[in-house]
Amino acid sequence: MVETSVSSLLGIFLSPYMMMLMTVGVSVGLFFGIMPGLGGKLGIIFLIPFVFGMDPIPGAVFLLAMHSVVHTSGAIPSILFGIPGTGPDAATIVDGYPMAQKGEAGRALGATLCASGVGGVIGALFLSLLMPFVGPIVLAFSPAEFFLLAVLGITFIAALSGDSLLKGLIVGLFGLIIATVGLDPNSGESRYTYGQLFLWDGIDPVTAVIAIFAIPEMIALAARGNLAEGKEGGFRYTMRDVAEGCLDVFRHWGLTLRTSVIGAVIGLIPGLGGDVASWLCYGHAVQSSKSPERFGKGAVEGVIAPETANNSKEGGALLPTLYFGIPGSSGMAILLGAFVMLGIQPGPRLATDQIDLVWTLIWTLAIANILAVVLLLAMAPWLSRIASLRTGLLVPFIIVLSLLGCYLGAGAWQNFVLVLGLGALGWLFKKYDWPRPPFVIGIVLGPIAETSFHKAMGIWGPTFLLRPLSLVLLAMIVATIALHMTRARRKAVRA
Amino acid sequence: MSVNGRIVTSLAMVVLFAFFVAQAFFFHHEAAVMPLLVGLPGLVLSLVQLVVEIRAHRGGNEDEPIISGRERTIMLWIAGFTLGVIAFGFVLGAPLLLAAYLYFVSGERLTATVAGGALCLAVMLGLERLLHIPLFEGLAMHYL
Repeated sequence: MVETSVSSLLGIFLSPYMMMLMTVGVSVGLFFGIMPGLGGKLGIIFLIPFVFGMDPIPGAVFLLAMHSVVHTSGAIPSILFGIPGTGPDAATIVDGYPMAQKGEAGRALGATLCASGVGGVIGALFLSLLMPFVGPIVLAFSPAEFFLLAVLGITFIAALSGDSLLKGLIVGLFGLIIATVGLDPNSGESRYTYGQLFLWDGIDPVTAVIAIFAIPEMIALAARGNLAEGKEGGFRYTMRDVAEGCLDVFRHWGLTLRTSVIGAVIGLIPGLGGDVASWLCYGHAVQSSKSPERFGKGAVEGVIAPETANNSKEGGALLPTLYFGIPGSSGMAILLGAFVMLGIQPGPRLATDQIDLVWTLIWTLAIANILAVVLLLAMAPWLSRIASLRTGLLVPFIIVLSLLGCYLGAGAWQNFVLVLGLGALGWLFKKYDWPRPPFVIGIVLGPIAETSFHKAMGIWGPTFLLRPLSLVLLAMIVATIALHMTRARRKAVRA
Repeated sequence: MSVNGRIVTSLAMVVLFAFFVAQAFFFHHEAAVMPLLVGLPGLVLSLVQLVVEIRAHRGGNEDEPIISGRERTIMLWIAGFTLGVIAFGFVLGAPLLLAAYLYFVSGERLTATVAGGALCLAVMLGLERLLHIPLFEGLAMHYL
């Protein structure tokens, strides 16, 4: 394992092509993070046309490098304008914005950049430490457990990604049923294809994800206009201020370490995502502080805690994404769809057949985070100008690249029609608070769930549900639903 | 439009699941298992959600317009982009529509509009000629 790990690291460092891909990926990720309203999901969709035809490893490195650094720059508009670049960056506003208001913008930026970098590296280390234990566990899973794991994944994400478990489950089941379009893997009978050849291989996951996520986001972005418009603060700061913020991260090393580990552990749990990680760690920073009254008024610890967690959670989230095909966050869900397009099939076989890919991705997380900090520190004096770029200029480019991604994913122009139909549904989901991540889990896990179900039925019949590990997974599904219902009832009583 | 959007969304899910389930009954037994295993619970849950929304609506939730003016504009543009690309392909259709969007919707100056269209054309040509990625040429262009 050590040998594979070292050779994967050298494979990145000694290849100018890989380093170039990472640099471009990180730059694009930083751009998508710094622009309020764009975020990593649109970033992946933006890059899909450019990874078409690439080998799986360089393509995956390019996409992961982009995705893993979005939150590093996402904190910049939070600090400078009081507008979060992405949802999980909202916690940084609480202390980052007041810091900027009282003339400490440079220190806040330095703290956020270094905290993000350190968090990202610790997240990758956390993942690498888990590697020796995960492989044997994953390989012990049979088709019965994989089917139930798919159901558990949808239940988890349905319960955690929105207020309504019912809506989440419906959307997850819709993703699963969409995944049944095409030729049945067992009998070869065509289902829901109506003589359309392009549907024989099923609905392309990339097209479906673009329709459900990107189209509604673009409508919302264009309807909202430019968030940072007229808010350019004209903050003045020196590199010395930024360096002071960087040093703060190491002065509070205990907090940095603790929140990085908490973030990575949260990332392991499918569906919890960045919002939970950043707010939980912010809460931990307040609780563990000797002077909690400073928080909310510009305490640097209030910037460090959510930022380390935001980046370290990506390390944890990569594990269920790769080995079980269950994304740890909605961003990971889209990344998973893109990985499938590149020919990387998530699942236990990665632990045996493609361990070099897994190590390359772990190193990518670590290197991309360091690279992002270096790039942003170099650009520190001009960050406020980039963040106020007009979104009106970007929307049409993203529309074009989304359509390009749909076409390249399956090579069929008929996918454009699907995008319009599913895009309208995705827009309704977004507008009326239906969680969309369960859809992605459903469509990505659908084929694995169906094949595993048929295999399990073939081997054990319906008694596959009574296998010890199956019973554990069933208990987890029931517990997730029960916990969500108890919480909802408590919330209703309080209201 | 002053239809309740929440009810419309739930109803859309009921209709979709009902369609998938109804069609599954025409499949061979083996091929129908998964669609029914997923579709039937989906249909039941969607019906429950629909009842929840109707009750909430009767309980006093006010109707709100489903689509705002700005949203309608961008939706029409997305549909226009899609139809334009279907008709004229990526190399011709995408730069023209992008420039039109920049000028008419974003209100950019002519120089920015032309620069945006040219950049889009350069990306498309770069993908096609340099990276050898086959781009859709458009149905109209194919027949012309």
